[in-house]
Amino acid sequence: MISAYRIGELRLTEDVEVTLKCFYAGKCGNTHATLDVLQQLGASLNQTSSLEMVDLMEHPQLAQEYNILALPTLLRVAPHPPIRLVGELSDLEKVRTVLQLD
Amino acid sequence: MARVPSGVEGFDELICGGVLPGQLVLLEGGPGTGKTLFGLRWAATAAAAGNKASVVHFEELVEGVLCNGKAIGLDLETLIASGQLVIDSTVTSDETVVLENYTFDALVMRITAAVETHGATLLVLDTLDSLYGQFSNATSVRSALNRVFNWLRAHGITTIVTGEIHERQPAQLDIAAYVADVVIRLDHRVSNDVTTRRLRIVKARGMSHGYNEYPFIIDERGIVMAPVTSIQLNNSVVQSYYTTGSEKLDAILGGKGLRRNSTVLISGGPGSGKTILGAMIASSSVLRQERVMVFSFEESPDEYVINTAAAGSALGEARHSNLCTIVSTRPTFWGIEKHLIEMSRAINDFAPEVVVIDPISSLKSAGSLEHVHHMLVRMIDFLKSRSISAVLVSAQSDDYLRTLDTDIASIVDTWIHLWMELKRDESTRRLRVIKARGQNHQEGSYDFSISDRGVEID
Repeated sequence: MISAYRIGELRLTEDVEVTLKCFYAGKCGNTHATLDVLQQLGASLNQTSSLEMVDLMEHPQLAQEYNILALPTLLRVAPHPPIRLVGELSDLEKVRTVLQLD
Repeated sequence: MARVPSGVEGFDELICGGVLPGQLVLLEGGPGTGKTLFGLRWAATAAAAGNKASVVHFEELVEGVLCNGKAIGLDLETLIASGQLVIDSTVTSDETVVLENYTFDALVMRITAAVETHGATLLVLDTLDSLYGQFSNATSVRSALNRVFNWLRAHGITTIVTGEIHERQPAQLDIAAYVADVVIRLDHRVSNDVTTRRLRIVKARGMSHGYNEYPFIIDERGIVMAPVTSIQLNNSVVQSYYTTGSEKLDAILGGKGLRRNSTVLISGGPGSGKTILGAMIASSSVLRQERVMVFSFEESPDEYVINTAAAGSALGEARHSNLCTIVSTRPTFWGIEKHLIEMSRAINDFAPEVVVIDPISSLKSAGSLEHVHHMLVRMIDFLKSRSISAVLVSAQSDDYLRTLDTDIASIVDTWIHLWMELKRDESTRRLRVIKARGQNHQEGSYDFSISDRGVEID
């Protein structure tokens, strides 16, 4: 039910399976730069990892299910424990650092 | 006009039964003042009345909210199971990093979903302030809240919002206070080591309401307002009388004894016999098969029974046959409001015809004179509204025109003062009826003695 798609080719050498979900709402002003960064992020992930894009306009009930308040929210579902990154994404390195992907 | 009651005992009466449907209510107060419990009570009341209610919590996990409810006797789980109530929490234990530039579309979606999907007519948002703590962009938070409030108003949803009171909060952040139709301020303060909780209705659009600060307590039965003095003096007078247990005293009082549903004050110094006289009035009541409740602040129930039995009181047997209940509490154990609330509860449960409070003067150690006075006025009002005859015993030195009792004296119907006169080596007990409203009482003072038949006037 989630409108999910993968972004880019995966080429990380690590074996860790990373699951990311990015929540946004339609065409908000702050999604453009975010989408760019997500492109790059997806491209840097390994084969077993995934990055899902979740449009809350289409699936409003997921806001409660994943406890989302502000948009965009990038949620690292796996590995545990979860990490949330709230706000416009503009710097890939910072995103990777916060989500502890390096 | 339909009302949305909070279900808080004693509060809805202050605003004529509840707020108006669709109104936005702000419950404001510092930490620990009872905002959350007040909000939960409101939601549970709506849900239990067959309406649908939603709670969106910004500070506690759902389990925590359920636990809070349980602490004040609310079975929220049952209401949730029966589909009357939903609780959503935005609290997360996930590590969260907040960058710049975000919107609150998800928040707005969740709140509207909490209402629309569930079909709620009442929504509780608790506490919006925590959004300001989580998200530094206050403008963004405010505009989201504005959207939410406008949407709720347009949809006629009765909304209860809780808010912290910040001493130095910039006024523009205090959005709810401007938008709200009803603002209720809760606080608690400590004076003389005793904590008192108070509530004030700061504003209430479209309805009349009381302007005072009203005391309340929070315990396992929820938030309970202390009985409030009725606005109008409209207690009806019953033209029937009951005996004090002494024909001579009845005669001094004008021939018929004490008027029913009236308040009699018995004052006197230590050892003057005031407790004996109070117990005699109570005892003669149980002999007529009337129910008597005694609040004793200085003696245990057994002590009270044994000490008054020597003067012929039948309260001991009456306790066994459940005609009489004696409640003993240390005055310092509670604040004055808690005393008032516990006493009124006990009275409601036991439904006595006569209540003895012995002595009211010791309540001074539970609060200031002014508090004690207010409390007694409310207690007397409460008893009259329930057609209960009251006997107030008070320790009182002979300069009785100066202290506590003179305040109380103006509101009691009958005042009997006892004292001892020392003449040479002999002491004589004396008694005088200072006032007896509506009765032709004798003005003089009388000698009396205490025997196993109680107070005997010579």
